[in-house]
Parts: sequence; structure tokens; C-alpha cells
Amino acid sequence: MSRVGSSIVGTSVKRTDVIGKVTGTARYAGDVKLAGMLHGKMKRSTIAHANIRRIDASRALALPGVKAVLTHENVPRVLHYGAPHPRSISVTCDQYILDRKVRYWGEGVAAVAATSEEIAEEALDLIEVEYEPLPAVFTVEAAQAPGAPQIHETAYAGNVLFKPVVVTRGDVAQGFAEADLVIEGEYETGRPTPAYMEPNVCVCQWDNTGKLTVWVSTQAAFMVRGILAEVLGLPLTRVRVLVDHMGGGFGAKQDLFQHEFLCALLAKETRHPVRMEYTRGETFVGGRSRHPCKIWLKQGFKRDGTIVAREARTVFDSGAYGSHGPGVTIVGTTALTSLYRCENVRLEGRCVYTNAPIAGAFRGYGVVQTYYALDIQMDEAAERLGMDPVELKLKNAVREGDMAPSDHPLVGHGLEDCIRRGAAEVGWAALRQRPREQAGTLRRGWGMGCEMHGSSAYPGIKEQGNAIVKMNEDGTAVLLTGAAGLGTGAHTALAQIVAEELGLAFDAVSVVHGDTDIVPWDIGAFASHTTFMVGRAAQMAAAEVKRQLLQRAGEQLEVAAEDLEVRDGVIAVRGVAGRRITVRECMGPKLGIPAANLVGNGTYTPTKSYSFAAHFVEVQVDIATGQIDVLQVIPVHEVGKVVHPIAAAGQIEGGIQQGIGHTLTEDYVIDPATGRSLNAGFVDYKMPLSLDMPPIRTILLETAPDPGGPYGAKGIGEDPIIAIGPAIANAVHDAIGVRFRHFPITPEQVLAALKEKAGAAA
Amino acid sequence: MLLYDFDYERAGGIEDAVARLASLGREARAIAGGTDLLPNMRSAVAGPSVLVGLGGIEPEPPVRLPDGSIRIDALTRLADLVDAPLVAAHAPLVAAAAHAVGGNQIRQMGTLGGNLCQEARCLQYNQCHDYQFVAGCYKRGGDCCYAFPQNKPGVCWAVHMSDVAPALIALDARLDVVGEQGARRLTVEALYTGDGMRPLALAGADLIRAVILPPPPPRAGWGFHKATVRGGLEFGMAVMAARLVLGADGTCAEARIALGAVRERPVRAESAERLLAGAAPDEGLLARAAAEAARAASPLPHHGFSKRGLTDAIRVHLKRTLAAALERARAAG
Ligand SMILES: Cc1cc2nc3c(=O)[nH]c(=O)nc-3n(C[C@H](O)[C@H](O)[C@H](O)COP(=O)(O)OP(=O)(O)OC[C@H]3O[C@@H](n4cnc5c(N)ncnc54)[C@H](O)[C@@H]3O)c2cc1C
Repeated sequence: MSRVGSSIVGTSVKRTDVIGKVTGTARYAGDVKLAGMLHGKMKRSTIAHANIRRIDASRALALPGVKAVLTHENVPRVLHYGAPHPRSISVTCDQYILDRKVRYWGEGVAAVAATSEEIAEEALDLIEVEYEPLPAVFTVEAAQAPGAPQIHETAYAGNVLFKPVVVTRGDVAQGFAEADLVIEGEYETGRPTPAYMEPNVCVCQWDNTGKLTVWVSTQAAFMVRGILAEVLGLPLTRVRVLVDHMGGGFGAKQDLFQHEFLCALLAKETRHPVRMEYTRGETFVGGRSRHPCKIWLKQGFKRDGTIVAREARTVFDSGAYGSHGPGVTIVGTTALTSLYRCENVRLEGRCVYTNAPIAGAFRGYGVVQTYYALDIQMDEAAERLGMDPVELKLKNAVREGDMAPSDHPLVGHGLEDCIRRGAAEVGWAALRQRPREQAGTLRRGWGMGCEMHGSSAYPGIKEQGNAIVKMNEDGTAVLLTGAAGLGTGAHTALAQIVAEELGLAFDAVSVVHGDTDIVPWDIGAFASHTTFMVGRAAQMAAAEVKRQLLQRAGEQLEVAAEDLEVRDGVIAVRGVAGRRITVRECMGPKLGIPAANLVGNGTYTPTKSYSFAAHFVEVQVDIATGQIDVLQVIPVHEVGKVVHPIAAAGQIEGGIQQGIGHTLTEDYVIDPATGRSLNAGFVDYKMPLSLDMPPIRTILLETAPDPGGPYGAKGIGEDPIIAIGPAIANAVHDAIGVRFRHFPITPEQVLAALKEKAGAAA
Repeated sequence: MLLYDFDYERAGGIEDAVARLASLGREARAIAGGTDLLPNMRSAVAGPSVLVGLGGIEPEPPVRLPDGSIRIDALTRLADLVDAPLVAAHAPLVAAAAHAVGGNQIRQMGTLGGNLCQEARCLQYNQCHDYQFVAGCYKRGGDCCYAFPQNKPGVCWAVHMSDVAPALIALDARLDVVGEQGARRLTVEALYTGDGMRPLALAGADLIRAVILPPPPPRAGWGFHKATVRGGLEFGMAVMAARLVLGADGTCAEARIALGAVRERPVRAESAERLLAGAAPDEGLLARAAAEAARAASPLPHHGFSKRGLTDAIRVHLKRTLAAALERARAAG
């Protein structure tokens, strides 16, 4: 890895959170214990779609130890965004804290605060709810059929969430008319869930000035603050949100999950702090899954592989609430304008309410679904054109200057670089020529998938990263940031950037985060933007401090500030040996003169930068059992600049694990008759384990740095989950000649497909 | 759901436990490792008000009895079973099966007896979120079956998923059961009723004290396979165990095949055994036997696996399991 001109950025320094995490001293919201704290629990609906005819809490209230019960009758009725997400078009304003109506099986209908969790739970059973059942729909087809029950009054039309997104470029009809080969296919993706380790949890406390303090596991503390204030009718000075450490979110924890409001209201009602924590089952039922998606995709190709037309229709199943449905639909659908060049494009994306549990933001944000379809179809096209898929993808790979889905020109040739490097690394050309196994039942195959993903949510949201850097009188520095630490190591990366910019040792920078009363406003950790955007803001803030520092040093050394440089805590006159002063000396108090107060503020409003990846995968398929094993993965990621190699590789490995799960084993199952969750737990919802993980040989490239990111760095968070899926599906095709157009791909389906193929051949 | 309040009595020995269970009656249940019972209590699949703890009883280490049979205390932790040199040497099939259970934490707590006596499972029936929102199915005392709505009242197709039971059946193991009337012997097959509503043929106070493995015959070989979706920490899609005994002439003198996670009880594949017995085993025969076992087992769809998928899985994996057993038998002979 290149480390030109930098020493801390690019080095795997010891993460700031690692000691706390391995010793168990890192504090999570669930660790907060307050005197007199009560425990809250949510009662959930026992039906997927119904009006609440009657709800009676009197028996619950009579239970000793029960301090309060909330139902739709005694909570504020304010229509609000589930994911406040600066009121962008990405999210939907369609929910109440508790409504008179339930829209999925397991929706919260009441909440109890009691002196113990056990009592709270017992009380739930004592709350009587009488439902007036409504017909329920669990598929996008049923939800769009004539006469389907309308789930939300606020919908665009029927159960369609928002005006379908339509993207057109060029002339599709003309394109298809010119095509030598037209391929059309339908693709369908499952319902994986993020399965973060730390369940949703929050603790709420009101003080005697009427101020609410909330400890919560969220990716977006300021969004939680904003929406709580809005719904509860409080000024922002009366709501303080604290997030120290977090055990993952993967996008889902941008939402509010009913319990934050209920916890705050229970605390208010009882005048005691209240803690509410989801069980693992609730993180499924009341959490956010990926949007199941159906994609119809048609492309036209010239004989030489040039893509001349692309047409697609996508339908995303949002479940019972909108959450990020519009954003996911828009991002996922418009992503199809890109990755592989095509001038004539027509895309239509829609998002539909059903009575299934809620889908939300999840790493890869719609693109996991659409690029699965696109990349598999590219593989199919290569086969039908008699081309090597790598060659076909290279030929069409987006390049510098091409219009990105965000409608601004791409920087660099990252995708091309990834494909070439990966192909060289695995010896792709030779692999294509290798003899195939004929004996036995094991068939090996290689596949490759590509992706690109934007850092930042531009243009959907014109985001803003903020940072404050202060220098202490001993020459150390403090970074104040609102960026959340999901467990990605973001705070470490930010500290590295500040240290680098200030010429300080990494240890000389500390990070203050996670308190909305103290740190600068932050939009939340999502869209692969923390290192890119907040990192740049931190760099700007540090640069401002450095400017002030060198100014001061210049005065002390009696040279122009421009002639000074700072490195390893020492300020020196460029090119002049001996004329130097330590940062500490420069900052410190002099006789009768107090130390300096140097503060830098950084605010950065990025457009977007794209990171790229190509994943090369080897699988083994047992044609007798249908079992698919991933044998090895060679992910090549182009990220502009690697800030912390181990953390970057960690992101990639984790994404691959999730992606393997999506593609082969994970699916959150809803009973098709009732909408009830069937495998809401880790025994029956099958994530791959460490035992299932193949060797991963990660390659990080820095060939297309983005001028917008700190030191050229771009995002890495979402990318790794996207290309692995189609790479596996393509490898399975290479192994057994069967093309799967859905996930998860189960052994039963492999066997059935092989039988069908044998039947067709016979 | 949180665990409800219950009383706990610590038994001083197996007879003491039986006596306590007998006097406490229906409200009481024995608890060994608790890895099956406690989750079931949390999801209200089981609801005893008193637990009689077997945890204080020190299991006797596995021993070889004078007649060559091996006695394994029912309270032996699965992890200890896996590690026991005697078991590894004389009953590697049992060690392999024990090793296939759950993950290490489960094996550290879970016991042999508890494994055999675990409750049957069904995605719908085990499906009970913290908030009790499902009207009970037949097995929960209600009047419907979610998984098989056409089932007659009282018919439950929950599947018994013990990994160890098929191995013990393949080895023709006996159980030393202590009850109110004293001790008795039972085959492992006889432990199971085949009724998903009440899978065990034990009276309320009966406890398994030990498992007795008869002396291994010469020229015997074993095979075991647990078909799963991932590398561990999961109940089987289908579990198969086999023992083949060869005659001096290399023909198959005896075959014992048992399948788990297919029906309300572990099943013995007797028709397949008969195909093998007395025959000269070759690839084709093993394949026919496996196919016959799969057909005869008539697996119940469970946990998202279809009957056809399970039948295929058994057919293929059992053939491989039998081949492994044959190879070992030949090596032993
Ligand atoms: C995450 C997870 C994964 C699992 N995976 C598997 C798996 O892969 N394969 C598998 O087979 N099981 C699995 N199990 C189930 C269970 O953990 C094991 O079967 C374990 O061996 C049960 O033993 P125990 O001692 O914990 O039983 P307990 O929970 O203590 O008891 C289970 C039942 O047996 C009765 N019992 C216990 N001991 C005796 C005795 N000596 N005589 C008579 N009755 C007795 C109890 O009264 C109770 O009804 C899993 C469980 C979990 C939670």
C-alpha cells in the first residue's frame, strides 16, 4: 500500500475502542443503570392487519409493580417519519407512536413500565386488545391487485408508497432495434435482516428542568433527537441523546423503532428512568429487513458486447411502513443507469406497502438487489455472445467522466482497475481454459461480480459533515464529532486524519463523540460517508488549527507562517536546520501569558464519490446434494485512499459474510397465510458462522482517489456486500451450468434445477 | 420471553431425583444441562413449576463392563462424551454424533440424557415470540395446527431432532431407566412413541440413568452424517447413522441404519437394512438401500425443507454414510 507523504493515515494504528471492547468496559446503551430505573416492554399485535376496536389496560395497571401503561389512547398522535433522515425524499412520513390500526403481525400496540422486566412482561398479557380484522396482503402482487386493502391513507396510490421513479436516458426503443442480442430476465431477492449483535435498546430519563436524556443504540443520534423533540413537542435544548458505543446497525438503526418514543413517555409518566430493550426476536419482528425485490431487466447487446439498451422495472416490498422505501427504490433503481455503460436506459422503480414486517435501510441500500440482477444478466450475455464475462464487463465498465447515477461525472477508472487486478490475481484467463471435473459429484466454478457505490447520499440529500478540533496547551488535540461509532472504527479513522493533518502522533488526538449537547451536528452514520465526509470536515478543522498554530509559531520564531511545517509534534522552518520549536512549546503558557485557545471548525458538503469493487469467487457445488460451498473470495476494492488497512479489510470481510448469507442461507420467513414471523431468532435464521467462512484475500486499490475525500479516501462500508452475491451466482453457473436469478439459492433448488436441466437435455 | 418463576430442588442422586419427581407429580420436570428445557420454558413450550436439578449429581465416567459393553452415564456432558478416550476407542460413532450437537457452549452444558429426551421441534410450534401472540396449536393445548392445517385434532408433526439418538439406535444401545418401580432396560427405539404430541415413552418420574452400548462385533464399521445448512450451531436437516457388520466372507452380516430429524421420532430404516443383510455390498446396493431408507422414512417437511428435498438429501448422504461404514468395516476386518 502506498504511503506517500503520510505516516498515520494508511497505518493500522490501534483502534481507540479496542481496549474497551475486549475488556468489556466499553459502555453501550444497554449498560446504563440508573437509580430507580424501571423496565419497559412492548405489547405486540397478534394480527397482521386490523383496526383496534378496544384496548383495555386496567388489569395490567392493577398488577403490583406496574407503573404505567401506554396505548394509542394516551400517547401524542403525531404523524412522523420513521427514519427522520433530514426529511429527504428517501423516507416516508407515515407512522404514529401507537396507532389505532395495526399494519403487521407484531407491531407495537401498547407499552408497560414496571419495576422489573418480568412484571412488565406479565402485564402485557393483561392488556386486552380487541381487533377488527382487515384483509391482509403479504406480497407486492396481492398489495397491487384491484380491491386490495389500503394499508396507509398517506400512500401515493393504493399501496404504492410514492410516485414511481422513472429514469430515462437516450432512446431505448432505438437501442433495442440496433441490438444483435436481447436478453430479458426476472430476478427476485429474499428477505435477509441485518442481524446486528446489539439489540435495539434505549434508556430515558427526565430531569427536574423537563429535559429528556436518552441513551440509545442508533446510527443517527441527531435524527433521534430531532424527531423525539418534534413528536414530543420539545425544543432541542430539552432533548439530549447519548451514544457511546454501538454493536452494529448496518443501516437499520437509522430508524426509530417505536420504543424510543414509548420509553421517553413512560419515563415522563412514571417520573422514573425507564429502560427498554428488544429481545432478539423483536429485532427481527420490530426491526428492519432488506426489501424483498422483484426486478425485470432487459438489455440489448451488439455482437461485440456493447450494451445498446437497458430497460428495467423494479418492485420493492416495503412491508408495513415506508421507512427508507423511497430512498432504497430510487437508489437501487437508478443504480441501473451505471456500472456497465449504456446510453439508452429506461428504468421504473416502485415501492409497495404490504402487511409484512418493515423493510428499511440496510447496507447496500437497494443496490444489492438490482446489481444482483444486472451482474447475473451480464454473465448470461457473455455466455450467449461467446465472450469471456470478464472481457464483457471490462468492455462496458464505467470510466472516468461517465455520468454516475447521481448525475455527476465519475472520477477515475476504479472499476476497470478492480476487474483487471482481480483477473490477474486469480489467473482468470487460465482458469477459463482449465479442464472441468467429470468424475465424482463435486463441480467447481469461478464467478465474478462488480459493483460501485456512492459515498454520501447526494443528490437525495445534500449532506453535511462537521467537526471541531481544539488544540490543548500541551500540544495534544481533541476532535469533537457527531459521527456515530457503529463498530466500524470510524472514530479511529477520524483521529488518524486529524493527527496526520496536525503533524501529531496518533495518541496525541482524542475523540469526543456521542453527545448531542456537545458535539457538532451530524446527519448520522450511513451511506458509506463517515470517513469520506466527516473525515474531510475533520481534516478541514485540523487544517484550520494548524493554520493558527503556524501563525503563532511564526510569531515566536520570527518567520513567515508559510515557511513552517509541522511533523511529529515539531514545527520547523522548511529547509533550515535547527530553527524549530515543539508544538507543545509553541502552545504552552509563557510567563504571565496563558496558553493559546486554538479551535478549528470544519464543515463539508460533499457531492458524491464512488468506490468500486470486483469480487472473484470460487465455489464448489455437490451435484448430488445441491450443496454450494464458497471456497475462496478475492475481493478487489478501489477506495481512493486506505486510512486504516485492517479496518478496511474488516469491512470487506464482514460484507462478504453477510453477502454469502444473503445468497445462500439467510431468509427471514413470514407465514404466507398470516404474516407471522417464523424464524425470528438465530437458531432458525441461518447466518453463516466463522466455520462457514472461506479464505478471503483482500486487495485494496488506491488508483482513483477522490478530490473530495480526505487524502482522496472514499467510502467502504456498503460496497463489500454487493458484488459477492452475483459473483457466487455466476460461479454456480460456471460450475453446473444452471443460472439462478434469485437469492437465497438453496440446495433443494440446486437439485431441482439440475434435474430439470437433465430432463431438458434428455 | 423472560423465564418465569419456578421452584428448584437439587437432587442428591438419580434415585432421589426419581423420588422427588414422583412426589411432586405433573408439575415437576428434571433438568440436566437445561439447554433444551430452559429455552422451551422461555417460549412457553414447557411450563413446569418445579425443576428437579440433576446438575449436582456427578456422572460416572464411561466404563467398560466385564461383558465388553460400555456404560455411559446419562448425565455425561456431550463435550466430555466427545473427549472420553474409551468412547473414542470403542464407540466413535457416539462421539461423532455428540460432536455434531449445537456448538461448544451447548455441548459443555448439554447432557446425553437430555439430548435423547429433548422436545420435538417445529418452526411454527417453537415459534413463540416474547409476546405470546399465537393461539395455541394442538401441542400447546390449542385447537389447530399451523404447520399442517389439515392435520386431524391431536396430530402433531413436530420432528425429533436428536443427533445422538440415531447413533445409539445404530449401535443397538440400551437404556438403563430408573422409575418409581425401580430400574428397567429399554432399547433406544422404545424410548420414542412416534407421537409428536408426546414423543417420549417415559412416565413422569422416569429418568435415564445410563446408556449401555453392547460390545462391538468384529468387522463392524460405522458412518454418521448430519446434513446442515451451515457449519455448525444448528439442528439437522436430516441426521443419519449406520453400522455395518461384515461376515468373514465380506458379505454384510448385519446392517443397522437410523435416521434423525425426519419424523416425530428417530426412525430405523428396517427395509433398507434387510436389503443389505446377507448381500455382498457394492456401490449399487448401497445406493438402493439408501434410496429405500429415504423412501420408507417418508420425511416430514420441516424448517423450510420439503419432503422431496429431504428425501433427496437422505438418499445421497445416506449412501455416502453407508459407504463410509463399509470402508471402516473392511478396514476393521
Ligand atoms: C442453540 C441450540 C442448538 C442446539 N443444537 C442441537 C443440535 O444440533 N442437536 C441436538 O440434538 N440438540 C441440539 N440442541 C438441543 C439441546 O441443547 C441438546 O439436545 C442437549 O443435549 C440437551 O441436553 P440438556 O442436558 O441440556 O437437556 P435439558 O434441557 O436439561 O433437558 C431436556 C429434556 O430432557 C429431560 N431430561 C434430561 N435429562 C434426563 C434424563 N437423564 N432422563 C430423562 N429425562 C431427562 C428433561 O426433563 C427435559 O425435558 C440445541 C439447543 C440449543 C439451545
